[in-house]
Amino acid sequence: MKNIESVDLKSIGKEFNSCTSKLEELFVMGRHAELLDELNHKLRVGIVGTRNATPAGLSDTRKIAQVISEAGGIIVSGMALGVDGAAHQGALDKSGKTIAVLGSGVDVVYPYAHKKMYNEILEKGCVVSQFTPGTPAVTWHFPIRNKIIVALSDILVVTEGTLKGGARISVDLALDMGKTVLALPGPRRSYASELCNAVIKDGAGVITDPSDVLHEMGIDSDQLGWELTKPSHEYSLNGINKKVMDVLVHQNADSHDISILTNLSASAIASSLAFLEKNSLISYKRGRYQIM
Amino acid sequence: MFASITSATTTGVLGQPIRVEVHTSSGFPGFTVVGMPDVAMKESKERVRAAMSSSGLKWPESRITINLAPATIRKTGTGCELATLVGLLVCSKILEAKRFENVGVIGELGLDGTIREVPGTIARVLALRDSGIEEVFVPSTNAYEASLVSGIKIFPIESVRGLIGCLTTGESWPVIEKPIVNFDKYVGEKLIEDDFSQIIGQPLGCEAMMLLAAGGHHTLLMGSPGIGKTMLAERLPGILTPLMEEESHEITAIKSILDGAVYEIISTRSFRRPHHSATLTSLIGGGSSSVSAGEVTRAHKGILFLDELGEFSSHALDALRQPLEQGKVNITRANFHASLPAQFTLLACSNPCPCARERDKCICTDNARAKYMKRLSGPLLDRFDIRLELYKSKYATEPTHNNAQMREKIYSAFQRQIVRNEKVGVLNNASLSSPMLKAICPLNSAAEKLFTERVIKREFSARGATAIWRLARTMADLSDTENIEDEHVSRAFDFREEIG
Repeated sequence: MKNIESVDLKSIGKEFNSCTSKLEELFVMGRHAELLDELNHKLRVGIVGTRNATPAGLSDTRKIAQVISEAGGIIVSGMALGVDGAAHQGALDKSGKTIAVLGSGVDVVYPYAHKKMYNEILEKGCVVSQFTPGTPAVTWHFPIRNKIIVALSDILVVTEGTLKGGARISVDLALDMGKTVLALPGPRRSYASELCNAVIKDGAGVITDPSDVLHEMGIDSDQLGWELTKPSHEYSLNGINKKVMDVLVHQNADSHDISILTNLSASAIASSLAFLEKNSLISYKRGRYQIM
Repeated sequence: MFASITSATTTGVLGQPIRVEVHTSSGFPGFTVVGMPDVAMKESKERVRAAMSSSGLKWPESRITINLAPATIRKTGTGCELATLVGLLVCSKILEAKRFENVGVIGELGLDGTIREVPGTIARVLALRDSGIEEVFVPSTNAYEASLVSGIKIFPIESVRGLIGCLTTGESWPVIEKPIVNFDKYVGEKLIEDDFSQIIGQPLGCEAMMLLAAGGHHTLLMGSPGIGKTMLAERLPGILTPLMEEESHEITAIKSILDGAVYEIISTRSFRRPHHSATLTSLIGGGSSSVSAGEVTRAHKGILFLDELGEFSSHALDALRQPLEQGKVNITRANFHASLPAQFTLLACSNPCPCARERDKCICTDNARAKYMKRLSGPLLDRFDIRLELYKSKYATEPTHNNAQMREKIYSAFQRQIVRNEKVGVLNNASLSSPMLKAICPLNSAAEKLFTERVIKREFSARGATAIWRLARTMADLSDTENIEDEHVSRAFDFREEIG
C-alpha cells in the first residue's frame, strides 16, 4: 500500500513562491514527512553534483553527508547516480534523515539501480516530487526537480560537477534565490571539478573540511571532518605496508607495478596487500589496487 | 545364401560397429536395403552393381536383401559399401566366409571398382578394435590414418580386383604410405615466431596465460583496445601442454570425422577462434538431419578463443554453459541424439565499456558501463575463474616472460596436477570442485585464514571463492610447491574480481 500524501506548499515555506510560481503542492511518500516542515529549514542542506563522479568525489561527498547527518542535518538531493546517490548514502549511514526529490512520480523508482536506497529512504526519510504519482522520469523534469532541491535547502553544497551539467542549473538557482553555495575544490585538470572551481572563483564558500558546512549552518561542532573514520592502526603500519601505501597514494597499481616501485618481492607484496585490504585501507577494483 | 560382414558407421564423433548382412535367395531379382540407412546408403546399390561389373564380376541374379544391424540406430554415409560388396562375393563363393571372421571392412566404391576414402576412418577403426575386431580392410588413402590406431592390423585396399587378388591368389598387399597432401605444413616457418618475450608491460596478463595453460582455467581478459589482449591470446598456443596419448587419439579421430581424412596424428592442442558473428549452431553443433560438430567440439581438449565477447549473440554465448559445465554437448533432434565431446578452455576478451578507454580517461557513465557488462550473462561470467582487467604497466619496461621458461613451469605444474588430481578422477585444476579441493588441496591455517577473510571482504560468491582456491592451487603448482601457502592464495586474488 502506497501512502502518498500531498503537502500544501504554504506550509513548507515562502521559499517556493519566489521560484516556482506555478507550483502548489508536492507529493510526499515515506515515514518522515515532517522533515519538510518549515521549522527544519535551517537544517536542510542540498547536495548536488554530477552523475559521472570520480571515486574520490563520491567518497568525499559521502563523507560530507555523513558529517552533516551526524550533526543533525537533513540531506536533500535528487537520488540520481553519482554524487546524489553518495549524498543520500552518507545520510543513511548516520541518522538517515534525508529527502530525495525525484524527477518522476514519487512511486516511480528512477534510476532503478537505486531501488534499495529508495526503499531505505522511504523508511528513514521521505521522497518528494511535484509530478503526479505514476509519472515516468523524462529529461525535462530534472531542471524542475532541481528547483525543488534548491528551494528546500538552506545551504547548497556542490562536490563535483561539469560546466554543462544539471548541477550548474542548481547552483545558478541557488544564487538567484540568495542561498549560500559551498563548493569542494578539485584539481584543475579534473573534468568533474570544473564547476566547483568556477563557482569558488565566483565567490562561493570553499569546503576544505566537512565541518565547514557545519559552521555555515551555525552548528559549533568538534567533528573531525575527513579524519573521522581513518583507521587507528595506520600509525602502526610496518615498513613493507608503509611502502605499499606510499605507492598507492600516488596511483592505482597492480601487484606487479607495486613490486617494481617498491623493489620488494612478489610474495612480500602479496601478503602486504592482503593485510591492507583486510584493514580496509585499500581495495581492489578493475584489476588494480587503490586506497580507500 | 547368407553372409555377415563387420563394418562401422559414425554417430556424432564416435565410431559404431555395425554388421552388414547379405542374403541372396531365389525369387524375383531385386536389391533391398533395410536397417535405417540414409539416402547415400540406399543409393549404394548402383555403385555396388557398377563396381562389380567394372571389376569383371557377375552380379548375382537373385533376390538380394541387405540388412544393417543393429536395426535401431541410424546409419549414415557410404563407409559400408565395400562390406556390402564383400558380402555379395562371399554369397557368390568368390571369397571365403571364414576369412572375414573378426575382420572389419570399410570403404566407399567408385563405379570403376576403385575404393574411395571414408571420413572418420580412425573413429571407425577405434570402435572396431574396441569391439574385438583384429584386422580391418580400409581404403589405401585412409590406411595411414588407420594405422595410427594401435592393436589392430590394417590392410590397405586400392580396388575390388586388388582385394580379390590379395585374398585368393596371394598377391602382396599394398604398402601403407604416408600421403603428402597436407600443403599447409609446407608453407614454411614464420620469419618471427610468436613469443611472450615480445610482450612488454603486461606481466599480469602473461601470468594469467600461464595459469590458463597450466590449470585450464577459463579466462576473461578485459581492457582497452591495443592493450595486448589479443597479442596475449595469440601467443597462448606456444605454451600449451602437449596432448597425452589417449587425448591425441581422441582428437585425431574427431578431426578425421570433421575434415574427411587426417594424415598425421595430432599432438598439439587446438586453438579455435570463431568470428563474433558465429551462430548458436556453428558454436555448439547441431543440424536437422545429421549432426555436425560446432566450434566447441573442434576446440575439444584445446582453447576456444572468443575475441570481443560482448559482440557475440547472447543466445549463442548462453548455450556455452552446458559444455562448460559438463565437457560435452548433448544434441537432441526428433530423429537422433548425439553427445559430442567439448572439453575446452574458454579464453575471452572484451572491452570494459563502450568507450573502451583507459579507466582514468573513460567517459562512460556508470550506467553505460553497467549496461555493457549486462550483455554478458551472470551465469556465463561466473564460469570464468580468471577475470582480469588489463592495464599497460608504465613500470615494466623489460619483457617479463618468455615461452621457453613459461613452458617449463607449465609442464611441471601439469605433471603435478595429473598425479594429484587422479585421486579424484579429474585432469586439471580447473575441474576441481569444492569438495575435491577440500579433499586433496587443503589450505594450511595461515592460508585458510587469509582466504576466508578476503573472501568475506570482497563479498565473493561461493563459486568465486572456489575459483580463487583453484587458482591458488595452480599458482602453487607453477611455483613447484606441494602445499598451498598464503602467498599463493593472496596472489590468486589478483586475478579475479567480482563483476556486477
